[in-house]
Amino acid sequence: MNTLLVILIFLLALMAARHLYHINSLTTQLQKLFSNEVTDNPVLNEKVTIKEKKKNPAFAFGIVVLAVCGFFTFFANTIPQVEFHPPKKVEISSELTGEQLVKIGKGIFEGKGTCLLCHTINGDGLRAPDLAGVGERAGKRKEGYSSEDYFFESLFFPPKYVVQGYAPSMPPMHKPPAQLSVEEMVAVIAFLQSMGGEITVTGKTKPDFEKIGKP
Amino acid sequence: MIESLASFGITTREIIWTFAQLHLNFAAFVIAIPTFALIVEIIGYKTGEEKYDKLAKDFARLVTASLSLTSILGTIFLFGLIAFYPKLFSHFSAVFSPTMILYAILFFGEFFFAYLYYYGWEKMKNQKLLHIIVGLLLNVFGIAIMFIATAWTAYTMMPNGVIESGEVLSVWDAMNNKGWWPLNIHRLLANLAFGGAIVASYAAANFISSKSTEEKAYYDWMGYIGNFIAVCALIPLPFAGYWMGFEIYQYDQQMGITMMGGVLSWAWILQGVIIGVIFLSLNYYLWVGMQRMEGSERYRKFIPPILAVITLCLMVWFTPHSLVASLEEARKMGATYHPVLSVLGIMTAKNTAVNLLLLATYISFVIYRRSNRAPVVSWAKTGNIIFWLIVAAAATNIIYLGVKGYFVETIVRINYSVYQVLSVLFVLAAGTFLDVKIYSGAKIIGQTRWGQMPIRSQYILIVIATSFTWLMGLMGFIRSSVRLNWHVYKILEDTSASAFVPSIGHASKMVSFITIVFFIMVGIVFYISKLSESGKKQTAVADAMK
Repeated sequence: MNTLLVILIFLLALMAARHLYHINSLTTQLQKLFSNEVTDNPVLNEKVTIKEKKKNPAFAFGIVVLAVCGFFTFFANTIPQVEFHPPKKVEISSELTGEQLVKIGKGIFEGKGTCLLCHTINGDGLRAPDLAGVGERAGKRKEGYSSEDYFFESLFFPPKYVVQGYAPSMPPMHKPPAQLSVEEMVAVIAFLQSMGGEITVTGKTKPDFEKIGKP
Repeated sequence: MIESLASFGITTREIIWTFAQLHLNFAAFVIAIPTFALIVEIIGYKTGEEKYDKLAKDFARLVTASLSLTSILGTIFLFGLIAFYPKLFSHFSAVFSPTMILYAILFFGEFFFAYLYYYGWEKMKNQKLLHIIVGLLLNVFGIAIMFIATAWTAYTMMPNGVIESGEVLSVWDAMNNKGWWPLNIHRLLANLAFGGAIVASYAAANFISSKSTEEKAYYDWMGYIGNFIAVCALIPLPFAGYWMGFEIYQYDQQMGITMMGGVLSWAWILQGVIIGVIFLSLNYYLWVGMQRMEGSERYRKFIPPILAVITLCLMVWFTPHSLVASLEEARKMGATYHPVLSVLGIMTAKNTAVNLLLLATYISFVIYRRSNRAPVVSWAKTGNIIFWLIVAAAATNIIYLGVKGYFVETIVRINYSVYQVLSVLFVLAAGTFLDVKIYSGAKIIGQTRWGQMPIRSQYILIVIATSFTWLMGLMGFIRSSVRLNWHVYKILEDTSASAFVPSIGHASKMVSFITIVFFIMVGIVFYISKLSESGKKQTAVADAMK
């Protein structure tokens, strides 16, 4: 891509040079070199003729297009360069303890789960509830629901409980685009519980679909 | 083959990107130009002025020269999809095969009416109404083709009529997805704005190379008409874009946030810069254009305050919410947000700025229109007071809602933007109606000296055309990237090596490359289109400007 851009810029610069120096085409120049014609002008005494100056719209057009493209490209390369790569599959063993799952869950929370698109931790909670201390709050949200139950329900069926002041806009996390597996959800729950609460999940934990509903 | 391409540093994604964007640029051009040609031809027919008919014919010539190139680029794009993304093409065929057949059939109509419209111009000189009907049919076919292609594009973002396994439930539902109509309207308007700008740049190129005053006058006028069309289409364009954004959020909030607040958020700052260049250039062209109008001196005092408003609005438009700050700077600020300026980085400020920007551009156009005219109606003074009161009320409402937006909940703030937009639309409708009535039968107090424009005004037209083209490329990148690693969002995953969103820096190099190639091709099209008319040019132009 860079090579092609350089070639294009070179061609445009060549056009500009022809316009600026009013020189004939290369073939005419070569013809003049091998002919017996000389100019009358003793100062120049060159075997090239100077073409009458004429306005070349292609030159003006080319320079302006190049300048505008150059400016936008320059600006685009000065602002933060962010790429998105699809998340890699995470292998989660059923032998892992809750504490071991916290780190994995944090990675999923910040990566594949794209939770930080909406949620904040110690932030402004503009789009979705701030999750600082959620581990402590989760077990008290719904009557008869442990924090595990609450988190599983929130991930599988987000609209079933929506914090006041927010719209029911969270998508189910087991479906595309996140498509979290049960094991990945368990890891995320471990991370969420670690924020102010007790980590009750392990690698063997499964959701209680009888309570929260079948996906 | 893919490996051999990769050894040159070219990916299949970049090839598809290049041909898709080039095809889109030319398609926008060939769909928009017949619309202007038809409108201008009708004006010529109604007024009896030859110059409008000549201008319309010049527009039509550009279509015939571009149509084959558009089709070739589309075909290469199609072959590329089949060769490099067979799974995607197979899915598309399964969902959309009836519409693909219809798409191909419509091209027969497009080609037939395009060539009949241009080559039958002189032959149907005495059957003007019939010729206008041919032009209308050309537009119908072109727009129908565009609507079908838009449905495919919108489907990739907001699929409908299929289930997660990819099984098709309904072809109509797949077409009539949430993004179809917002994208249709956005593309219709964007095509007109883009086409107008390209025509204006064509006129600018001819103006620069013109030798006679008649030619200069004609191309100056053509450039003004092209620019006028671009401005008229540009003003409602943000609303169509806003509708598109609204539908994206409604469909999937994550996609909306990815677009506006996630990985693509900085692309909107770049968009802001391009919009800034376009609006400043458009207004500058109008202000320089006032030099050709005798009597415009009395309105030049309005230019500095309008420029101040535009500059202020653009500064708000460019301001990001999060700053690029070092650890030290972030520590001093307490966050990555500037303690004062970050408030300008959210949508309530942006909506306020863009609506005021549109109002300011509209005012520039109004004073340009009034430059060399004096109203003769008895109620002109009262009418004028009412006009400016409408503008002031709209501006006040926009600012009031913008400030209030900081103190209400998100869902309420989003609704305020609708009222801000309605304020601008009200001014456009009521203000224009009033202005036309006030200046009905107005006395012309000064000549319009077509052709007497400084050369920098023509360079500005080229800047506008390039900026529009670049903006189209950037918007295409954003629209495509909101799908992240999905060919069809949530339905068909992209599992290729190119299944990632590249950085804005890389995207900008691609867009620049495509823009330069596009203008080289357009230059060839302009050159070829002039060959058929070069002998008759001088007389025709001189006759047209009488």
